[in-house]
Amino acid sequence: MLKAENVTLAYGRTPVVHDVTLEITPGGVGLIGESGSGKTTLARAFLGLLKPVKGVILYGGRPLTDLRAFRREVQPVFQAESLDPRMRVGRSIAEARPAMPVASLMEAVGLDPALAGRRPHELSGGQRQRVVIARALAVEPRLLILDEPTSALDVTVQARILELLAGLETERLLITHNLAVVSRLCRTSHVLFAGRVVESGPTAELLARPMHPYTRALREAVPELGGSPPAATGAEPVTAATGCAYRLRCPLAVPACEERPEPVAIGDRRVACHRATEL
Amino acid sequence: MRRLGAFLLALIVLASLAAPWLAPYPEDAVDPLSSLLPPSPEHWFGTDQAGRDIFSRVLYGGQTSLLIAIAVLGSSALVGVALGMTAGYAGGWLRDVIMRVTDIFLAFPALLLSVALAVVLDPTVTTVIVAIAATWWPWYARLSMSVAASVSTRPYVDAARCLGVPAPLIVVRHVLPNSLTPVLVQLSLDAGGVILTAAALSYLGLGAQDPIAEWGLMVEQGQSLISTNWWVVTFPGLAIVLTAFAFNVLGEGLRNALDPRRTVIK
Repeated sequence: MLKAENVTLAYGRTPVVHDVTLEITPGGVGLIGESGSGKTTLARAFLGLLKPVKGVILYGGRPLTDLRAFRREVQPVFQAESLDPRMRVGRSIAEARPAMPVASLMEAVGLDPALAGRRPHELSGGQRQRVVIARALAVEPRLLILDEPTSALDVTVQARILELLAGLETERLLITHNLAVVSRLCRTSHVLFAGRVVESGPTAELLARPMHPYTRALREAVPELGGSPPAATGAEPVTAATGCAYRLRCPLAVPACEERPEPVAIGDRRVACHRATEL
Repeated sequence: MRRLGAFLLALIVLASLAAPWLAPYPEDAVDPLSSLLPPSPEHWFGTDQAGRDIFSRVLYGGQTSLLIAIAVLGSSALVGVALGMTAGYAGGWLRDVIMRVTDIFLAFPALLLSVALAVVLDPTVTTVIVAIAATWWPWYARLSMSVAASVSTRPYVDAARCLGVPAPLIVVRHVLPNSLTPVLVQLSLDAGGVILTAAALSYLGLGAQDPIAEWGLMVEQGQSLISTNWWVVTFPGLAIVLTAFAFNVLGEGLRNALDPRRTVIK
């Protein structure tokens, strides 16, 4: 329903997302990557909040021009801290549709309607996140763009919010660095590194058998109960300005990586790595 | 401390408003034989060069000085915040145009611009208000533009945009309430400065004129006497300092009251 076609995004003159083609398909789509990889920037473009400097965002096969109709159909779910600190949460939920009964929306996301008169700081993190979800659902959207919706929550609250999100019938694009969350909510995933999609494919397969060294590093960085913590490099992550952006960190880098790899299809996966077939 | 500030400001305002009943002498009652008398039971704050009772003139002067301060700050904030909010939220060319106009006003020394405006207009209290407000609003425009630009990038503003809330409503509902605190604090800090600037204009013959009682004018008229007749300048000066202090404490109180994180669950 929503597609980025050869999209390049920039802040000022600094491009942060390069030539990305990505479609939001049914079953949930995950966008995985470290901080600064361009996930949120891409989400802002999908929400119509940022115009591409190159390429186009298509909605229903047509370029995104009539934002009025689009606004009601695609809604963001930001982090729990995304509520106006001065506005009572009931008013935040009812902002788009004042006539909508707030109580039923609050009940639908597992909130006590009596909390409607409170301000965000008077609620717990989990309650705030539910308010954010209720606000997005108020306009009955077709697609939710979830930007790190559980990253500021503790694990037990996170589990309850995931349960709530998994139960929604709305389509979703989930932006996260948490592989466990993406494996639960998304059928398809894309891995973003330095503003480029380096690997795409069915989530279960992509996480079980990563074909890009960066995806593999992400997978190995997940701490396991009883296991040893991931090895620290002792240096800030670096990206290469030319060729494969990951090559300065890649244990498999070869001279060919000085040329930028184009994404190639391998089965139902797409991987941008010269050594993808070896992994 | 906050209550002391509110109490002081209330006292100053009430005393100024009740001047016709509280003042023991008319503000402009000249008595050459009583010139420059020190404080005494007859003249609590002494008398000035023309033999006028300084206590009475301080009470009446509050009306003029507070009127100037409130009118200047109110109109400057209204214009400056409206332009600053528009520039900060809209960004792009509109922000550039508004900010360049603001920069032009800021490039002139404030007092010089006030003097130039006051020369063109008649020397009255209204002239003082217009002249000072014309140089004061750019500061509020610049301050509120920078705060509004920052608030406009917050996720709750993005969320409102995504809900299709019209831009003017987003500014009124989200950007303005979350940008006002520094403006209110600045307003409270500026009150003393406005009164002193009004005094400077009056001294130059471009604002309130004798025999109108105005604190700044009284300070300017008495400054050459500070080593010989200290009371002439001290009491109106104290009135300015106390008023500025009361406004500052009130600003701090407002800042706290407007911080939603300081409210408690009822």
